[in-house]
Amino acid sequence: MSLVCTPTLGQAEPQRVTINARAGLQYDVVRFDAKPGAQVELKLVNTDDMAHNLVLTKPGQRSAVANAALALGAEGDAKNWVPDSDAVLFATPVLKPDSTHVLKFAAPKTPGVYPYVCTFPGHGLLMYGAMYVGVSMPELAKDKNVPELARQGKTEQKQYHAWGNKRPLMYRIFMPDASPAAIAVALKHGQNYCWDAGQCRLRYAWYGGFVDPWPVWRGNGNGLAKVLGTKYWESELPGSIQIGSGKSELRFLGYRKVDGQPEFHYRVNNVDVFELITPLHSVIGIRRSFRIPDNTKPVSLPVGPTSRVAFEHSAGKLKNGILTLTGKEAAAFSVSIGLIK
Amino acid sequence: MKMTGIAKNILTTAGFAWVMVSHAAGISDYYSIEKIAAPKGLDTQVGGLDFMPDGRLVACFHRGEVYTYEPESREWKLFADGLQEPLGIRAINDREVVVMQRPELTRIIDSDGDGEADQYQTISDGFGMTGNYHEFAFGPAKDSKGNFYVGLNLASNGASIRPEVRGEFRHYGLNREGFKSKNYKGPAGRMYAATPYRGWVLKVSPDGKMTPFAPGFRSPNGLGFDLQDRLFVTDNQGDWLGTSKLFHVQQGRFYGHPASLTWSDDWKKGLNPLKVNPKEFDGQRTRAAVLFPQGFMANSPTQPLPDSTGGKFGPFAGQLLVGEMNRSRIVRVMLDKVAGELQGACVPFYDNAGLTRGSHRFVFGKDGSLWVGQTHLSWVGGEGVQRIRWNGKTPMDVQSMKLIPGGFQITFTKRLAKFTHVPKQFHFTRYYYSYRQGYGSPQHGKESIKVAGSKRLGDEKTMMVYLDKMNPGFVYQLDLKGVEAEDGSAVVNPLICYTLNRLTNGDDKAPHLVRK
Repeated sequence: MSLVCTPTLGQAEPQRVTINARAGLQYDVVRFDAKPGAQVELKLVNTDDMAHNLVLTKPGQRSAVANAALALGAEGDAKNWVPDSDAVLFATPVLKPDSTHVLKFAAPKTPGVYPYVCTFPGHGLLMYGAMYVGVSMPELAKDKNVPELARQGKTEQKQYHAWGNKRPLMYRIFMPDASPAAIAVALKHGQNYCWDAGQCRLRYAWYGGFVDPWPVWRGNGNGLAKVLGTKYWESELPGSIQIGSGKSELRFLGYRKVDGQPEFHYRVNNVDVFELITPLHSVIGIRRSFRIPDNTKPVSLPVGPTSRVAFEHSAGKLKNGILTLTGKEAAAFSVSIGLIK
Repeated sequence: MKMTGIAKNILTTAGFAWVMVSHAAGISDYYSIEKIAAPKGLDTQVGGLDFMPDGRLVACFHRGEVYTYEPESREWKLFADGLQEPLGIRAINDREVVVMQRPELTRIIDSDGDGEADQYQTISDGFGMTGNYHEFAFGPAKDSKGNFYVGLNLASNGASIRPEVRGEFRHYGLNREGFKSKNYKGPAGRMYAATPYRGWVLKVSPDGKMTPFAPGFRSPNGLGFDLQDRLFVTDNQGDWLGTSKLFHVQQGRFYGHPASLTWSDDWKKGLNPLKVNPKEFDGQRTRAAVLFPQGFMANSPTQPLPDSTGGKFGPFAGQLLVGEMNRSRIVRVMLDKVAGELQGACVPFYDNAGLTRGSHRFVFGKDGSLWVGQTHLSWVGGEGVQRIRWNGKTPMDVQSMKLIPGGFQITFTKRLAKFTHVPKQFHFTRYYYSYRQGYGSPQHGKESIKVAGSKRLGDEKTMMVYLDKMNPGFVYQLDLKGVEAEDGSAVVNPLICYTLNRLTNGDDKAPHLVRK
């Protein structure tokens, strides 16, 4: 916490707080105290690789403000993603990476817990904290006003490479609930997924931090990487994409990097399939874009579960968790899996 | 060790006395070593080293990164990342490398020439994985035709298998359920091969056609071709390996660890290798060309690398160097062809003298310097990259050791001192290691062997040494005591171990004799 409290020697000296927006959709300071009516200088530093803001709201209005921001749609950018709402108290503009803004305001005179949140689309679910004005803080592990990861003390980003933290990032590493040939990928906007090169299929997706590789890397590999976030989708149907009828012969052929993200290449019954997974921008979620260029046969793709998430598909028919497409439809199509708000 | 110390050895025998004045020998009198600084934050456990044609070093590391290093500017640059425990790399050209990682052999290409790879193409993943930590994948070695050779570790019963495996599951002592029980260790076997081709060396053509090449390995952490296009593979002491070994690997032969045999086409379905009489395997196996005696020569040998410098790295051009994890040492191998098969001797080469433990991967630079990468993976070892240069002075060492009828022909790098006295200064011991299911082997039948006679050849470098007893199936250990060159320099590495698989009749027709 970079909280500096100066005793009141008159009203001149404001209370200064620095909050860093960092990778994994996090504020490094998830709560701080302020005296009712005190002058506060809140400095937001964006150390992440994407844009963030910070909006202080009236008590209990965090989600409402974040959702109102999302509803701005095309107007959002112009408004710094700050909705016209009485619930908004103070707000920074949207900060590009490596930029800073100081917000000067007087803390409310009414004691209470005043949330702050990043209202950039999709960030609000994870990226928030609270200003405690004239009320005492509970124990961090029990504080419902801070994100789950912060409550669990899992916000530390360890440095495992010479380049520090970055997204996109991928590891081929032993993962839970996958074959030993698993691939873990961190996308921008705190999105992550596990893709199985042993079975040529997406296994699960989560949001928040990426993985803790240390159980594998600390020694000879006798461990599994840990998922540092909340799983919101996990494949419930075995099997990869099917092309034509009969048993699928699968062959993993590697991937190419597209803006740092892997586009997987595999062959199903001698037909080439390309799959690129990218983050959704308006909500927490991912889009799986498929290309099956040289194929006339019908295609079926297990995509379930589709009921507990916001599922969309650009083509084909969805039934019982299986998307079926004609060969023509399957030449280029996408499905998206979004976390329901 | 420095040259400052002057040792005086006075050896006196009845009717014969001489005084030797010599420098304390040390390899650092002949070679220098330098630590290469690496990027901050990088775990520098090295899985593979090679040079690109443009002179950049390329290295892969424990946490999946591949970096290039420009020796002139000393700049590291990230080439690729995200790999799963890569343990070998071969540069194909300035924009392309081939890496062996746990799940596959991968071609990695920087197609747009920006110095960072964008294509990761699976050349072959045609083998199984259980998720057991010990299933490391080694290589690739490359033959003169461009084929790749990789070595697949067995799983260790230090852990079981994971709920999901890649490839067919097959184990004739234990089913999938059995592997979930607490008592899996015994029936699994100390090391086991529950998915295809664990314990095999595989051959992979450049276009990805995979051929199971030879079974019988335990932990083949080192594959390399010598300058005659012969494949050598090291294996680590453990079950079925009395001590660590260097094999000359040829297609279709069996190299001694039977767990892998269940994946042979001709293996009888349902037959558990642990239930077979070891004598049957003993008759079928190809013996190691060189045994590395455990405890004092090498405990965990790594990559075999031929000295391809043509003399820029000292007097051992063409010979194999082999890394050793457990101590600050690189071992040298002197091969000898007897009755059509390779056998030979090992001797420490670069011992102590600033080398970090865990020397794992090697490559020669164009200037003839040797680049060394270390690792540990939580076992004994180290990390980092070092560079060793020869200073042009010739160390006094054994240059070659060849079998002759009744003894050995031992050639030194320099002319021997006049006073060299073979019976007093050439001490021979022999012993053997048993071939058994158990872990390692003590030395058996250990005895001193008397020198029966000797003859110095006209080159003044070569000594013909005849021994009292010469029998196949033993390691003949030679300890040189106070031997020095005519110029006064002492033998740097006085411990030499020759693996005597076969005797010679002076021609190639001698049968493959083994210890009775």
